[in-house]
Amino acid sequence: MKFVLASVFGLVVSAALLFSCGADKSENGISYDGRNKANNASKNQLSFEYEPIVFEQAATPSEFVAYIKTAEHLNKTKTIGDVQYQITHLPKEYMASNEIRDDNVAQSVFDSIRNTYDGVEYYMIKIEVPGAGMELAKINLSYQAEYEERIKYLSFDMQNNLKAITDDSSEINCTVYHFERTYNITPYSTFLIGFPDEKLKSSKFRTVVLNDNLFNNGLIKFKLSLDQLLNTPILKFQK
Amino acid sequence: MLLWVVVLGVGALSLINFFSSEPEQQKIGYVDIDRLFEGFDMKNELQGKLELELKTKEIILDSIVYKLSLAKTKAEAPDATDELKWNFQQQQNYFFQEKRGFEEFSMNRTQEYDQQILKQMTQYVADYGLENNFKVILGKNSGGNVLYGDVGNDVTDDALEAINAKYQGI
Repeated sequence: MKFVLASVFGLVVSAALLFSCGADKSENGISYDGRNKANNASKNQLSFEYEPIVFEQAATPSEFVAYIKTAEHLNKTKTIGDVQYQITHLPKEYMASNEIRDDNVAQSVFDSIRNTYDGVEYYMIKIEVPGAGMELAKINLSYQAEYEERIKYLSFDMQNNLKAITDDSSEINCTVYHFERTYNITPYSTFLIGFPDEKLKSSKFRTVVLNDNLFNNGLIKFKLSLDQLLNTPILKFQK
Repeated sequence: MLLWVVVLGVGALSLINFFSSEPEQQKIGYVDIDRLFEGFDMKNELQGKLELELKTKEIILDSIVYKLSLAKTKAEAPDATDELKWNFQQQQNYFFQEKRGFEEFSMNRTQEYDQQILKQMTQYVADYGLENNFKVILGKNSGGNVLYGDVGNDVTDDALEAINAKYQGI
């Protein structure tokens, strides 16, 4: 009996030892567990803040807006050095929903506003330097006047550094461009951009290219498939 | 005594079992940097772009050289006036100025593109290493950072495919 009890105690002690070893290993960041943790952290950085909402039914305009912002297939992120670039496809329904901001809107009113966005494929580009804690134009300034130069570049000239490339290698210039200036309120900058959809409509893939002259990171490309862009919830209306 | 042997034995066996059941081995690999650089889509795209930019500037420079040779012929003629000689001098200065500008442009652009390529290549190799469970990826080049590497550890082809996919934004 004494022998059995001692054996059980031995097993319990061994098990406890094992668990404590496991815990230490995952915390010190050197072990496989630790590395996996780093791996996961890195993956989290590349993914998006919220899990996408899965709609089993049609979405209201406000739900639609929330969905687009978090849907993984409509968002792509790329990190080069310290700089994180994110692109989000904005369907015309998003543009209209975001403008109306009313779930009780009548479908006829919604459609008429949605139609004003026809002819252009819209995207949002977000550029951020995580941890910098300041607006893009202020990061690593070499001289005071450089801030104004950067603001000018971000406000106007960056439009010329954006294009969309179709399956047949046609290059489409950016025709809609708006730099959303936040005056240091946000640690990132966002740009609403748009390309004429005449050629894009028939292209199975489109590659949106930003030639980043601000951080000298060169050509930043995002390849998106039309099938994925069209995969959005159906809108529902009260009236 | 026997009791302690059993207790320690069970503990030891459990520890051996724990260490032998690690989920996945961390890998060490190396890449041939020259081959990676040569095969990187961004390098080839920017090389083409640079060649085009330089060619455009060369055409402008050629036309200046042509005008300069005409001015020289006129300036060296026996009946050349001071105005023609002065004109040649001016054009020659202009040519040297443009040539210097061309050389500076070529050097600066090459440096700029090299920096961009290196930044993105480094980032994508790091992404590849992280995603594929590498402990270390070494760079093999003519400088001799890796003096010997087993062929099995050469991940250049895999890494090249991965970095090109990343660059293309897939």
